[in-house]
Amino acid sequence: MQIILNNQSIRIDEQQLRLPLLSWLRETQSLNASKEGCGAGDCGACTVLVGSIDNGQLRYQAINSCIALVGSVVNSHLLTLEGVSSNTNTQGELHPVQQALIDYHASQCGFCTPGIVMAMLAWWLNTPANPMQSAQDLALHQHNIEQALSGNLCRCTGYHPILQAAASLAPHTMGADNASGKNRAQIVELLQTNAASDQTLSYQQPSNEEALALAINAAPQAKLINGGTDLGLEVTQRLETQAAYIDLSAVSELKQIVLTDEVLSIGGGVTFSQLETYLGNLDVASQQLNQDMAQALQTLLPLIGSRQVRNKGTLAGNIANASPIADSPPLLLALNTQVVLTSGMTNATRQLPLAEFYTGYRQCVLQAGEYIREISIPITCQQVRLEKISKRHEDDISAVCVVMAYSLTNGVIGHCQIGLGGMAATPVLAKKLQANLLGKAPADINQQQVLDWLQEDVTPMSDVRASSAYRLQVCANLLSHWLQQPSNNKGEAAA
Amino acid sequence: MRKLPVLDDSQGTHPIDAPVGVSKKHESAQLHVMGSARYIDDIPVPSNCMHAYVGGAQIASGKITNLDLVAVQQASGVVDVITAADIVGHKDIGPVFPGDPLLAQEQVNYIGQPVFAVLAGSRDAARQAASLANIAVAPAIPILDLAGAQAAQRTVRPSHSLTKGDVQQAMLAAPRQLSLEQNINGQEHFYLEGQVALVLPQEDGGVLVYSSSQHPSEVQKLVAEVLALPMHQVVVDMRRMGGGFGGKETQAAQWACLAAVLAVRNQVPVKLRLGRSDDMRLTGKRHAFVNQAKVGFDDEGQILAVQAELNGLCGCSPDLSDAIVDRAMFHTDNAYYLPAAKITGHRWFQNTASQTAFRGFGGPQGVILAEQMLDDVARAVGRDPLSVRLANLYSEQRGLVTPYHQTVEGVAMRRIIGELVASSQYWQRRETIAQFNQAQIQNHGRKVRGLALTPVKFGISFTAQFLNQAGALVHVYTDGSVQVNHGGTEMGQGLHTKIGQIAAAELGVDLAAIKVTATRTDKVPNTSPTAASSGTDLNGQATRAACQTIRQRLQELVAQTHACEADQVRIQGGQVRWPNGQQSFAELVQAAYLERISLSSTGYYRTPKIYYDREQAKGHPFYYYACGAAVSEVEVDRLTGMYKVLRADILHDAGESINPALDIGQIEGAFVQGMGWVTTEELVWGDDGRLQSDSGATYKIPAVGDTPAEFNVALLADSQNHEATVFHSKAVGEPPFMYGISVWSALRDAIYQAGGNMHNPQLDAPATPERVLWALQEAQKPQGGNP
Repeated sequence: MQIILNNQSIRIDEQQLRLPLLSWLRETQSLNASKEGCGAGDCGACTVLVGSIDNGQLRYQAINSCIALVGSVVNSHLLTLEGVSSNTNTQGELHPVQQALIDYHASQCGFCTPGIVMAMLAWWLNTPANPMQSAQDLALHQHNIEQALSGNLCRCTGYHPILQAAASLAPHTMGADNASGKNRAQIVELLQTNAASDQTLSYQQPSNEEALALAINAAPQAKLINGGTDLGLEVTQRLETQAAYIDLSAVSELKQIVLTDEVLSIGGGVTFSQLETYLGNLDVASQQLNQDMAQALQTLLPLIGSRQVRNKGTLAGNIANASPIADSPPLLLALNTQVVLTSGMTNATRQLPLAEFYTGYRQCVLQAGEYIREISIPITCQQVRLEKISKRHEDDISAVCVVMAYSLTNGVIGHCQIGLGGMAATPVLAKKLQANLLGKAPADINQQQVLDWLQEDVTPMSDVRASSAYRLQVCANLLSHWLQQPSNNKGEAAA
Repeated sequence: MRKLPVLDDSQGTHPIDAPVGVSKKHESAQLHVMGSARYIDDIPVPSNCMHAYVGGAQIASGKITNLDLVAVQQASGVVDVITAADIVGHKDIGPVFPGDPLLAQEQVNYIGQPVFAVLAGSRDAARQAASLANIAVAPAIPILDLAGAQAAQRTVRPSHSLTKGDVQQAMLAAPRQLSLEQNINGQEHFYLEGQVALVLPQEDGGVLVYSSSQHPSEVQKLVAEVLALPMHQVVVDMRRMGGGFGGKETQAAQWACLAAVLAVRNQVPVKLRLGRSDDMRLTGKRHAFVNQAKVGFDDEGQILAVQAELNGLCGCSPDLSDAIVDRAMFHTDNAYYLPAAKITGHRWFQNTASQTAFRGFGGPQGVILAEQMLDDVARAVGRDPLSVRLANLYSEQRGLVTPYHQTVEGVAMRRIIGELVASSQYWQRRETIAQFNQAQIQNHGRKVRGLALTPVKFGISFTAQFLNQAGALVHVYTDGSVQVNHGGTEMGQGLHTKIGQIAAAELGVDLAAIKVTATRTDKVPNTSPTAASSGTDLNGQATRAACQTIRQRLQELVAQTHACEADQVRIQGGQVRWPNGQQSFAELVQAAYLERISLSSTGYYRTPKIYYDREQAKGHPFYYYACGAAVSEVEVDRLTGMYKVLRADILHDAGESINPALDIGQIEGAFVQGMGWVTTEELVWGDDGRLQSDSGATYKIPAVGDTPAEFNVALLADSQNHEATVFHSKAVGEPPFMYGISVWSALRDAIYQAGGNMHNPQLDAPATPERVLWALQEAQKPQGGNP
């Protein structure tokens, strides 16, 4: 197993593959720039960049090294702050991102700073050179800065100087540069040579479905890992490391996104960031994708975790994890999503509605060796409304996530699906409420009715995030508001 | 003879650059961005270094009936396990009063309270082993809230009152009265670098301790006590903390002491670093307060009498709670004159970790009561809250004497508010917001907005008089370079940068010639914690004194050599000038060395004028006041209670700022931290006393998007501290934290307006979206409420 770590290509022993990347960097490589602030992917002090080849291009993405396992980044270029600093030192100048942070007094205690530098560097590398002439460009630019830093907590500065530092960087100078010390061509060549590396049993990262099936058959007890932004917590917080992992994130067949007139089909290995980029590049007006649906997805995606989490986390992982507060299932449920499951053991494939996927708290129908191959969202013409409620706007977990997809026929509700997160032991559809709404004119429905009907479907918990009463009330408020004020195909952003 | 360094001719030819009053970069800024700034967990350790962790019972209150550590001892990699019985010296590390056992022996007082510590070859092995203990506890009913503590009459320290005038008489005579109660929750420090210590045994039985601590001298004393060693056997080294905020004033000691006990027993280096969740569960936080007040006032909203009960929820031991509740009481007036007042502070026991210092040190919990009183009175008399605030400020006309009988001086509050009202366009925006809200309500829109201006007057000095002292040690080397050491600690606030600037100014050299080194107990002894916003005030003066001593020696040498008066010798920018000649600072230093003149000096400072008679509850506890004001505008979603801070404007009086950029950094950071305290940061304990908000996933400090979209922070121009502080600057660390209260006040304003200005909202802190929604619902009830 090879990894290019900053400026050198190094071999990794098999027993190191299941270590958290941050521990491996700090304890075995003596690279201490990346910090452990929380060990749970919440603070970003451990941010490093992972460079890999995407459509023939070398692309860097920020990830939380504390919850990533070493095995998940082999065959990539791992760039830590030491790599950035050692390269810029030889020229006597810091990287512009580093210099801007100094110029704007953007570090105080400095403990979060390495992570901030790396998150900003990822943003820099992924921002195409652009003169930013239009107001729209600038607004997007500003949005991207905040998105890039949304997973980096700073307790000292209040973020203002960090934002000023980022804003000071001239957009036309950004984009591809040589932050790594080696030139890109060299890295690409190394990555391509390394790609066909030997497999180990304790951490397998098959590159296609055939290899995946072989891997699953060879190690039927192995845990499937698909992004691992939640599974990583088992290792760092509960000190539970599995004997073997099979990593789905490099399986090429699972990385596809296909849009037809009927469905948006998302492969089981597609990360949130990949989906965000795909939707961002889609010209909604000229595409088949229903505008409300696209908007709902585009509203939700930036609210899921942080940039670092979305770079690693997958939509399929978010589903398979079967958490009651997973962010994407309420929307997928409301949109009547189907999941396609494939067994690595038998190669058998089955398809079922997401609504039938969950069997209980943190439980689902997946059998041993079975994985989500595809998530298939039917495209229908309907209104889609979505809101995620949390204490903090960014990088927070839903107290409630509520989605309503509906259409009117002759002034009455002819179709209605309501997906709820944080309201029950699993993400659920509010079936009784849906049934009650059918055939009614929106103007005839009041908030109290919605609240009463909702309580026939769910009895939410009171916990650290919100009380049961609040969860119900917010859902009722939003649903009745949406019914009274139909979408004009412009998503109304939360305050 | 030792050869002196060859001097570079270019030295001292730089243009003269006054080192003070300039926005110098943080001394570690370059190291921070390069990732080479070293924190304790980054220090290379000897290969035999071992790792310690702690374990405890999962019961909040009870007596240990059986302690079975066999599984811990037998776990893989474990080399030692200790309990209280293994501590050879003191077993209690209470900083002021006893009550903080290093390891709990019989009684456990909160969930997870360390009962034993385990040493293993790796940190994971130690953590794993620590979870294997079998601790049987006969449980008692835990005390978890004010009602429980009152029912059991359990306090950690006696109550204390401030009295001014005949408050009963004044209350009766007041034309109007109102009562209020507010529940103000605590706050987790969430320093990004968690608690950590590294202890290296020395050749002679002593220890070298690296501790991420705001109070190295106390760590030194406590380590010496638990090891039963004289203090001279213990050296504490502290280069920088990854954030402190008060959370490493007393709370750092336990981990250093435990590592020290294990290091000495096993004669190996020992590191103890808490994981984030354990850090959150096991260390103290900002005190929650339940504040009750009765206010007497007139029809104009002028306050005539205040009776207040401040109930601090202190956790399981005194720690610093006496002083913290005192400071809350000292700030119940905030910037307002209270003609008659009785303010009582109680220190209640709870079965939680002992609550501790946090930026503001009780001050915020007093100020937030003052601000609710002012808002409530304003709504009761139907005036704008700002008008009522202005009418109640301390002034010559109304009065200047505080409830603790100190006369307020040097508080330019009327000027500050005047300038801020203008720069923030308060009155225009008030109008715009009222119109916006009316339109939203009429059109069934989702949004309402609120605006509030709140001032801060914060007393500067430790209320424990003896802590107001500091020392420094300055060395000038023969190449003209200078090392400064002082008793303060660097936690990000830029103290070392400011001290460097002060030393450069005082010695007359460039900042580049100064290096401020790690805080070490063997360089400057018996230091006070870096706390109470006093780091620069105290250590800056001590550093100045040391530099002055050296400079005077040098000036006298020049006077002797060149036949002039010492006061005719000017040293500036690394150049020495006398009436008919000049040389570089380094040349003068070499000359001094050859003349056998000492180039090293200590410096010492104690704050003048301060005293407080606690028996009488009278005195002059604060050397001066730091002050300023903030205006915040919020937008609230009426369907969900979620909100955003749209804009914040702050004007702060930092006196003659030593480093404006660092001061503005403190203000911005403190505002956002204060905003977090009153908005999204919610500590939640279960009925069993377990902290449920014990990670970054469940406890939400502000993130990048929470910074106000428009954020204007300025320092008051042409201001000087009227007291003789270091370069007439003013402290800046804590006061701006309370600007965050303007966000809470603005949320209440938005809710009040949402209800058609009919119902004064009750809004406990933190004002989570849930609390905001309930308050909105109450305010918008058709029947209205009390007008």
